[in-house]
Amino acid sequence: MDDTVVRTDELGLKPDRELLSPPWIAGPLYQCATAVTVWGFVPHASLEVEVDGAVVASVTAGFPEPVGQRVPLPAPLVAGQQVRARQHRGGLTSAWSAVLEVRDHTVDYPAGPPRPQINPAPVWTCGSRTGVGNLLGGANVWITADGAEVGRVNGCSQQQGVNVTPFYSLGQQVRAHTDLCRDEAPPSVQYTVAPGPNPLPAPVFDAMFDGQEQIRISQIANGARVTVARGGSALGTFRCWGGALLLGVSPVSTGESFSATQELCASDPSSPPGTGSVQPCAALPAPAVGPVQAGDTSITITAAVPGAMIRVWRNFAQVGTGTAPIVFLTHALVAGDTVHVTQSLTSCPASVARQLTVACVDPPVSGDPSALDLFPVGFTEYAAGPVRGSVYYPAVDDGKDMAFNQRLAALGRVPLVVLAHGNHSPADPSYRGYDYFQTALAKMGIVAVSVDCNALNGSGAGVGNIEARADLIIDSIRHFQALDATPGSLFEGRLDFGRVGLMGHSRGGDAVVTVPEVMGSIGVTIRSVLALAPTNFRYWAGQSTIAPKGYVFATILPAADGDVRDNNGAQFFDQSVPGPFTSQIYVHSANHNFFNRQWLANDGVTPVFARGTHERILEVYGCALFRGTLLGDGSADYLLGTVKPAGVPTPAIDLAYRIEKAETVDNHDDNNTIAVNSLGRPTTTSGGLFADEFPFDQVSGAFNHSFFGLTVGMVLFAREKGAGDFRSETGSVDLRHQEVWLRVAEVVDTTIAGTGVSFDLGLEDAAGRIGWIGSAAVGGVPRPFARPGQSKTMLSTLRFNPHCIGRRAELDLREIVAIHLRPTTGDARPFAFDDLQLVPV
Amino acid sequence: MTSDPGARERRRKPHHALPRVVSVQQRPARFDPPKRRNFDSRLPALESTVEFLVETEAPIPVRALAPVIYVGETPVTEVVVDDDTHYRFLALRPDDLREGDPVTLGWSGAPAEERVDTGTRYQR
Repeated sequence: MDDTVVRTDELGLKPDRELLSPPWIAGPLYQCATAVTVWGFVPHASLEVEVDGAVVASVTAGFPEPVGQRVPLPAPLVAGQQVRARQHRGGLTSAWSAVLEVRDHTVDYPAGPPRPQINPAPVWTCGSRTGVGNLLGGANVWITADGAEVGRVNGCSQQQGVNVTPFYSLGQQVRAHTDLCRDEAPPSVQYTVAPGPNPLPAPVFDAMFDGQEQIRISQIANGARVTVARGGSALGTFRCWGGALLLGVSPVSTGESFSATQELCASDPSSPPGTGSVQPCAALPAPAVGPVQAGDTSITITAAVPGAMIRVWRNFAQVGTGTAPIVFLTHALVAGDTVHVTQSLTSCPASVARQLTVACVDPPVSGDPSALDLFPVGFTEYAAGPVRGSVYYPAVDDGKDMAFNQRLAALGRVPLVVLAHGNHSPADPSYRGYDYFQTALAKMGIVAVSVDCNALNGSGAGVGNIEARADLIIDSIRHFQALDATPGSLFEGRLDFGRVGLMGHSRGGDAVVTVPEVMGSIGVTIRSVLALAPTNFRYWAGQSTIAPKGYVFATILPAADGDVRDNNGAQFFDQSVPGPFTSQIYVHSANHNFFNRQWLANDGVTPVFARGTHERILEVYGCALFRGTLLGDGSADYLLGTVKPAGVPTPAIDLAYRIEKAETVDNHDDNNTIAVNSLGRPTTTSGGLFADEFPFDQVSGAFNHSFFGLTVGMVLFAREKGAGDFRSETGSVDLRHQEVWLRVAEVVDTTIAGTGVSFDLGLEDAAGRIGWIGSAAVGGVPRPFARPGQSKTMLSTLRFNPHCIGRRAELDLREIVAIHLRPTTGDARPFAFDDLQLVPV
Repeated sequence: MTSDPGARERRRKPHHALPRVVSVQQRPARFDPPKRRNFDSRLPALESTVEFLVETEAPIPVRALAPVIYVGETPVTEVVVDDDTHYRFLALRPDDLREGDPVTLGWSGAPAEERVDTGTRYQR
C-alpha cells in the first residue's frame, strides 16, 4: 500500500458535519447472551440497542477501546432475534448498524463453547485482576483459584477483565471458566501462581497530545495495581490485567505531566515512577490504516491515539466518522480513489492526514487461522516395535494420557494429521520438534501424530530412503487404524480415516508426497499434504518428479534455506494438479531448521527471522490448510491470497496458487510455441518486445541459472524503449464475475537491482478498446530475495479484478477478446510469466 | 536507565563441508529392491550394476541433502552407510555411466565446482 502523510491545510477536505458513521456490534451473537458489545462509536456517544425492532437498552458510552462498550440487556437473547445498534452525539444520529441475527451456539460449537484463555498469562502472586479471552459475547466468565471462585462477570465481552478477591497467593492453581445457556466450556489452561517481576518495571506512558481523553500506560505486570498522578495530584489506583492500562481522563493540556507506579504485593517495593508529559496539538500524527482495496466499505485503523475521532474522506468528500479499529463508510471504495484519514481530539483538530490510493487488490489482514482454541490437549507416545512417535489430541483436560474429549467424540469421528520429520542426527528426538504445531491442531479438534523416523536418519539416502520413510508413515497410519478398532483404546472409534492430512519436513516432505502414490486402498483418504522445505530425491536421481494430485497440496519454501538450497518444493508445486487448489508459500529470511524445535543449528544463508516466527508461519499456514480441508471452514482463503493472516510477516511472504475451477489462457506447457496459447489461440508481440518460452528449471535451455521450478513459462522483456505489448487472444469471454490470475516474477541475473519492475495488464473488448491496470495496483511484482550466490526467480500470483479496469476505460467486460501485457519499468529487465488464468469469483 | 549497544550473536552454523575421500573401489553388484511392508518398491531390480565403496577421512555430515557420487555428470544417489567413514553407493542406471569419466563426491543437486575429486575414474 502506497500511503503518505500530508498536511490537511493543503487539501481542501470538505467536512460533512451531519455525518456520523454507524457503530457495529461484536458478533456473532448467541442465544442466552445477557449483554452485547458495541464498537466504532465516538467517545461519550449515547448508544441504543434494538432487538426485533424495539429499543431494549440505552447507555452513555465511554471509549470504544480497548474492549468496546458492554451494553447489558434486560433479557437474554433468543435465537432468531435481529439485533442492531446506533449512536447519538452532538445532535446527530447515525444510521443503524448492520443487523446481527442471534444464533444458537451449539450449531457453531456442537462440542460446547470454546475454552477460555487467560490472557495475558501467566498469573502473579498478589495479582488483582485477570484478563480472559476467547469468550463468546454475553456469556458468563469466572475465575477459580484452587477450585474456589475468586471473581466473576456475567454477560461478558469477548475479552473480559475479571477482578479477583482475595488477590492470588503463591502456588495457587488458577483457571478461567465460562458458560452460555448453562453449557459449560472446558476450563482454561491451568496456571500456577508464581512470583511476579521484582523489581517491577517503571510504567511507560504512550505519547499524549493536547485534548486527549484516554491515556495508555504500558509495561504493566499481570494483575498489578497502578497508581496514577496528574500534575502531582493522585487520580486513583487502578487494577490492570497486564500489558497496558487505558485510562479515561478529562481532556489533557499541553505541558501537563503524569506519573504512575505499579505494585503487586504490599510486601514488595513498588516500581520506580514512570512519567510522561502532554505534547502540543501540532504534534498529533496521522493514524495508520490497514490495506484498502476496491469494494471496501470500511477502513481498518491499525494505529491511532486512544479515544481519537477518526474521519475518512474519499476523493475529498467525507464518507466516514467513527473510531478505531473499524470505521464504516457511506460509499464503497473504487480502485484509484484518493482516500484521506485523520484523527482529532477534543480541542485538537487534525493537522495531518494519511493519504492513500485505493488499490485494485490489496487483501485485508484479518484473523489468525491457528487461533481456534476449543479443547484441552492430551498427548502421549506410541510404540509398537519400530512404529513409534507422539500423538496430540482433543482431551478432557490438558496433560499426558488424558481421556479423549467425550463431547467431541459423541459428535462423530475426528480427522487426523500425520507429520514426518526429515534427516537429522539420530541422537535427537526429531519427532518431538513439532509439538507446538501438534498442540495447535489438537486444540481445534484434529488428532496430530508425529512419526519417529529416526531409524532412517543418518543411515543412508536416495529414493530408497524416501520410500522407507513413506513406509514408516503408512505403518503409523495403520497403527492408528488398529487403535481405532481396538476396544478400550484411547482412540477407539474416534478417528475419521476419510479425512487425513500429511505434513512432512525436509526428507519427510519428500516422503509425504510419496505416500499417496504408493499407499493403495487401505481405507484412507488423503485430503491435503503440506511439504515443508522438501527434498526431491527422484529429481536428483534423474527420475520423474511426483505430481501431487487428488488432494490439496501446499508447500512452504524458506528462501534462506541453507540445507535444501534449491527450494525443491517449487518443483512439486509446478507439477501439482489443483485438487481443488494448490499453494506455494515462499518465505523470505527463513531457514531450514527453525521449524523443528529439536534442530538447533541456524543453517540460514542470511540473517533470518527468530525461531518463534518460523513456528508461527508453520502454525498459521498449516492450520489454514488443515482447517480448510479437514474441518471444512473457509480458512483456505489464507492460502489463496484473498485474506492475509495476522501475526506473521506477510510482507516477507510471497504466495503462488492455482485452483481447479479456472480457465487457463496460457500455462506454456503445451509445446506449441510462444505463438499459440493454451486455448489454441494466437499470441502476438509488438513494439520491440521479446517473448519466448523457456524451461523454468535448472537445465540447459533455461533463460538463465535462476529458475528452480519444474515447468515451462514465458520470459518477456523490452528490447528497446517504447510501447511494447504482448497480446494473447482469449476468444469472447465474460469477465464480469471473474478475476485474471497470473504468476509473475522479476527475473534475477547475477545481481538484484535497487528498484523493482512493473507492468500493465490490459483487457481488450470486442470493440477493440483496451483498458490497462498497473501491477502496483494489485500489490506489485514481489522483489527477489537476495540470497548470496544464488538468488532465485520465484513466481508469485497476482490477482486482477477486471472491474478496476472496466469502469475507467468503459470496457464491455461481457466480451473480452484478448489479454495484454506490457512492461512499464522503463528498462530491459525481463519478467517471468506463467499460469495466466480466468478464475470465477 | 542505561542503554546498551548490544552484541551480535554468533550463530551456531551447521557443518556441511564434505570430507576428503580416502579411496573409491567399485565392484559389480546386483540390486534387489527392498521389500516394503505396505507397497511394492518402485526401484528397479537390477541383475547387474555397479557399487562404489567409498572411504572418507571423516564422517559425511548428516543433513537433508545426501552425499552423491557423480560419474561425470551422472549422479549415483542410492547410498547406504556402513559406518562413520564407509559408504556404499549403488547405480540405478549403470548404462548411463561412461568409461573414463571422473568420479567425484558432492551433495544432491550440487554443481560441479562444489564437488570433491576422488582422484579416480570410472571403469566398466
